[in-house]
Amino acid sequence: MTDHALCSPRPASRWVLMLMLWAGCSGGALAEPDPLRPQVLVGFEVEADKFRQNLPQLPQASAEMAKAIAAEFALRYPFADWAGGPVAAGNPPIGRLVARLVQQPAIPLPEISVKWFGTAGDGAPVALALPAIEIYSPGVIDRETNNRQALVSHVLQRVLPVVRSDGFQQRFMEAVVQGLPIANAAEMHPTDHVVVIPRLWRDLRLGQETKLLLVFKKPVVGGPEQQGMVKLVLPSPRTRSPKQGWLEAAVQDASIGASPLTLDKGWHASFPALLEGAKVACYIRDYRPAAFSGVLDGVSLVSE
Amino acid sequence: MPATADPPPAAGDPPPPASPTAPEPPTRSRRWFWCNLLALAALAPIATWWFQKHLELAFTEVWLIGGGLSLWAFLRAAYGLVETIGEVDPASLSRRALASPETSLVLAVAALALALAWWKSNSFYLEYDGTSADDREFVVQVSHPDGRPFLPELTVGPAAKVAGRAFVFEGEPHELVCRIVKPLNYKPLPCPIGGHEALRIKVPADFEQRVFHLLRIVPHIGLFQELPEVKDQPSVRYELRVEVGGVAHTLPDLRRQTVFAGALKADLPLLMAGHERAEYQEELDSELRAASVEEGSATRIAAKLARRERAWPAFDVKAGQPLRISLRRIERRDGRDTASEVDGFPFDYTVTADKTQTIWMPRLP
Repeated sequence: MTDHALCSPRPASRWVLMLMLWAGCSGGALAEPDPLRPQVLVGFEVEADKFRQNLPQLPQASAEMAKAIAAEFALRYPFADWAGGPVAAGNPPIGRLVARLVQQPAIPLPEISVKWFGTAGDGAPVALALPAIEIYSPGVIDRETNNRQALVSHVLQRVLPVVRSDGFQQRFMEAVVQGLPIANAAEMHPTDHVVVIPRLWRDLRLGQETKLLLVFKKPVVGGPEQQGMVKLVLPSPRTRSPKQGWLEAAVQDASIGASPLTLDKGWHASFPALLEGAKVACYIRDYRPAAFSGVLDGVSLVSE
Repeated sequence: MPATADPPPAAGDPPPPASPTAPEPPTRSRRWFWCNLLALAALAPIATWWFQKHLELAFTEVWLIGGGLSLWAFLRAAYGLVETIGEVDPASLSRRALASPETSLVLAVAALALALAWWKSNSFYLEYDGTSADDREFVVQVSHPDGRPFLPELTVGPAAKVAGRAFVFEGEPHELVCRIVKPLNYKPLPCPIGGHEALRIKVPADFEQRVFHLLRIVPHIGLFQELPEVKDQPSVRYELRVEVGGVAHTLPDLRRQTVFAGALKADLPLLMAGHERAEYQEELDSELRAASVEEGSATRIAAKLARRERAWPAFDVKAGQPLRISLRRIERRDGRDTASEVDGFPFDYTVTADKTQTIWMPRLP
């Protein structure tokens, strides 16, 4: 191919090129790109020394256990991608959950258990208020320190039944789910009296019984930082433009500091200005997944 | 008497070339007679001596007396038959036979066969010498140096004083080792057998007495959890070293198993076969429980260690002998082996007088 050919496209190619440029420009100007599905990064770390020192293919073992645990949470909390492996680029995780194989001094041998650590965003994981799961009691000495498959199988046999139990789920809800910011922005829509969360409803599939909490901090010139929260109910997919299909919710309650705001038909005149320049985080308080899947964009609902 | 009688010509003698029908000249016939008689006289003691050397022990006195009488009766009957049916005098017939050249041929063949038997036969016999303090049987293994059995296990004792056999026309020289496998209190005895040799071994007098010590080297709980299982494909290997009398012996790739040592190649399996596995399992179980191992885990591991036997016939030991036992952890990183001594090692152990002793490796944290 010659330089001349490169510089002078044929008429048909030129039309296609122009069309693509127009589509690109008009798209950017008319519609904001849809937000991505929230992701929670799940990891498994082996800290117990005999396992860390001897286990063959340690990274693979960790990845296998992380995937299995992530799959368990993905089944119960489908409002996010629980990723046991690398997360998609350009979509930072809303939190990290780490199951860690640790040892506690004991007689005759150290006790081996799985403890839970986590963080919102991508900070350093801290210990979570979740029960540790015993993998090897001190009196059990036939431990799979040199066999990856056997260890993975043994750990999952111990961990998954506990994770599935109601008691654990209740504490997981409080310790993990309620601490994950599903969004770090929100928009007040005075015309509809709703708050729009920059997530697609179809990605989160929150049921209408779900309750959300919007927490904000706003710097005030010459004064102390203003903090407040807005309780949101009835999360549902937005059916009108702009931001059709995004998650919207009605305001149930709001307060600034310790002062509650008196709402009029679920709205307060100060709302539109309230979040301007504020740091916002939206949390799930009471989680109920949608009973049906599908998107209310004209397509029929499909029973799950 | 053959020596004084004038031997008649043999019935089957070829006619003399000069006169086909004429009888053989008496001088020539006499010469054949004396030659054959002398040959027979020479061969008979040699055959007797050969029989006595290789076969006498295979035939008991009952066989010899009974067999001798039977043979006499058979020969006498044959003599009578020849006399009656052939209407000839057996004495004159034998005289004629001895005087014939064909008999010389037969004797020559017999001499050849005897020479061959002399050269190509050997025998191997164990004789109970009755010097054992207790009247018990001795089971002896006769094997090649590589362990292949040469004979089935032979048993001698007060009831069966001789065991063994002759190898007639098949007597190749062999480097052999004789080992009393029951009772296991004697050193192995080299017992090479030559091409035409008759080997007699007195049991147990020819064997030097000794005491074997079976060492069962077993990992304690901390090390047990660290070692790979037998079926694992680990990335870390453990190398056991035992120093005996200034010589270090190395066992590569130690697993969760019991290492049996204390005797050399052929003796160790015999010692291991003699150890009480059930008793050993109980010993392991109680030791593990005493170390606060959970009941179920202790039972499982005791059974595992008792069942997983690894023979290490690298050295033999004597009571009072000090051993230095060390364990190295070898990890392969970036294509290179990195070795380090495991905590708690090396440690010293002195062999006790016990025939079977369990050496627990250090407990580790």
